[in-house]
Formats: sequence, structure tokens, C-alpha cells
Amino acid sequence: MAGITPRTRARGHRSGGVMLELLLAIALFVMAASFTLSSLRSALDSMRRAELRARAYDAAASRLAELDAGLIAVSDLGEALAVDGDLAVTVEIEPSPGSTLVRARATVRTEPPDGISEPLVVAELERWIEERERGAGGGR
Amino acid sequence: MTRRRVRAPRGFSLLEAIVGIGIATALLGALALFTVNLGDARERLSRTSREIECVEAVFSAVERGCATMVVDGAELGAGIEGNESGVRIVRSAVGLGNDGRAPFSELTATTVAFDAAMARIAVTRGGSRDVLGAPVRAMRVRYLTERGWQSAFSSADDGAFPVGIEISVWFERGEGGDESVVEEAPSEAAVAADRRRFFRCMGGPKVDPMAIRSIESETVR
Repeated sequence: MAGITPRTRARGHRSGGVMLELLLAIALFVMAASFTLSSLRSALDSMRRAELRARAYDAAASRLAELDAGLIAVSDLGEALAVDGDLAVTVEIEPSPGSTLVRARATVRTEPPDGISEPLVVAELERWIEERERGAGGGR
Repeated sequence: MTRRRVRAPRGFSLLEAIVGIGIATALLGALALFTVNLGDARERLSRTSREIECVEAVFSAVERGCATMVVDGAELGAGIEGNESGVRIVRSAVGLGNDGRAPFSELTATTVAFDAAMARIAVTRGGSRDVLGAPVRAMRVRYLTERGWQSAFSSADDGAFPVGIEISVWFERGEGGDESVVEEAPSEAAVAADRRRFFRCMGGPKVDPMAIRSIESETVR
């Protein structure tokens, strides 16, 4: 009898310890999993942002090239052009005195994700472009 | 009393077994979910990065070509020639001015072509051909000339450059939904291109101001 009581107590103590260890292991697993997933999600987010920025750069470069090609006249630049639904490109023109070149600056904005009222600027691009007003004669 | 205390710890009670199984199930479920999520996210991550890389390679090759191309490349051919699915640009490359040639006089051809069988875009510079890693459903090249948009162009026939060229890329995305699009005719597809850029050909003509209106109406997507 004298030998049983300590053994029983030890076993009872042991089974409580197993539960504790199990809970600890689960908690550790959940922490590790959530950490991994959140870091992956942030990587995905930054990748999505990179993709958006790349598309925005496409839009800005295309707009400036269209301007340079004469597809858009400088006098037509007032309004923003919606590209791809979520991107809007605006072009500002800054003439340089004594030269036919103008400095064209394309800014691409996107709708803010949520809550923020200001549209986010995703890409900006600047280029010197030879100005040619519409109707100012054809020629090259 | 003493007997009960000795017998009690043997085996599990029903409640303990149920709790144990419940915990194990929840754990397994979480593990499965985690694995699926992880694989999904990794796949999307690598696909997106491959897509960005692929388009950057194409666009930078075309941009460099458009900035430095030459009309007559003698044996290499004319400045720009191509059709809807590919374009070839002959441009001057950096030559060191050896052998009595002028610097920058060496010519090289850059080809960007869509290989429908492989569903990949291949970029050829000089003699080396790179097949880009991202799966592409379609690529479309359009040529803007003084008369409007064309689906094929050759500097040899026109004796000039186009005003600019436009490249659109649709990626292969296995998510369904896009499957309704006819694979062979992306130009008629209502789906906007995943990536699209218009390149101005340096030294090319500008659009005739009188023709702008009609071209603009074609440009609207």
C-alpha cells in the first residue's frame, strides 16, 4: 500500500502534464502557421502592388507615347483617361520657353483600397515631347 | 475507496476519448487548410513574379528596339517588320568602333514572337533565343501608321517606320471564367489585356492631324 500511493500520484501528475504539453504544442503550431500565412499574405500583397505599379507604368508610358506620336493633341489633355477600369492617367504639360519641346508628366492614380478618400498615386513618368498643335500642318 | 483509486486511471473514459478525437480532427483540418493555403499562395506568388518578369523582358526589348532602330539593315532586313503575333526590329547596337567602322554602327535584330504551341513568348536578340517562363494565352502586336492601325507592317515595303507599335499580352490563368474567350482571336475578345503598352518609334512619322479623329475612334477599347 505504501508504494502505490506515490505511483498513482505520479501517474495522475503525468497525465495532467500530457494535456498541458498538447495544448502548448497546439498553441505553438497555430502561432507558427499564422505567422507563416501572414508573411505569405504580405508577400502576395506586395506582389499585387508590384503588378499594379507595372500596369500603371504601362499606362503612363503608353499615354506619353501616344502624345508623342500625335494620337492625342496637347489641347485634348484636360480630362483623365480611364485605363483598365481601376487606373486613371492624367498628363500635365509644362512648356519650355524658346523651344518646341514641352515637358509632359503623366500621373497614374488608382482608387484607394478602402476608407481613404484620396486616390493613390501609383506611377509618375516624365518625358520631353515635341509639341505640335492640331491643325498646325502635317509633315513629319 | 482505495480500490477505486487504483482502478480509475486504467484506460480512457468516453469523454476523454471524444475530446482527444475532437482535438486531433481539428488539428488535422487546420493542417490540411494550412498546406493548401501555403501551396496556393506560393503558386500565385511565383506565377505573378514570372508574369512581371516576362512582360518586362518583352517590353524592354521592344522599347530599346524602338529607340535605336534603323530603316535599312542591309542583310539583316528592314527596321520593323512583323504581324499580329510577332515583331522583328533591326536596331543599331553598341559597337566599339573597331575595324574602321563608326561607333554604334553594328546592327542586331531583336525578335519578339508568340509561340502558340508552347504558349510562351520568345525573345531573340542577335543569336540567342530566350523562351520566357510565364504561360501566355495570347499576344497581339498592332502597328500604328499614318493611315491608322494595321495588323502587319514591313519597313521594307513602306520604306519607313510606323508611328508606333502596341503590344498586348493575355496571360494563361487557370482560374476559369476566362475560358469563354476564344483562344485564337484575342483581338475580338472583350477581355482587356493583362498588360498593354504603346511604344513610340523614334524617328518615325507622326500621325497626320487630319487623320487623328478616325484613328482615335479605332483606338477606343
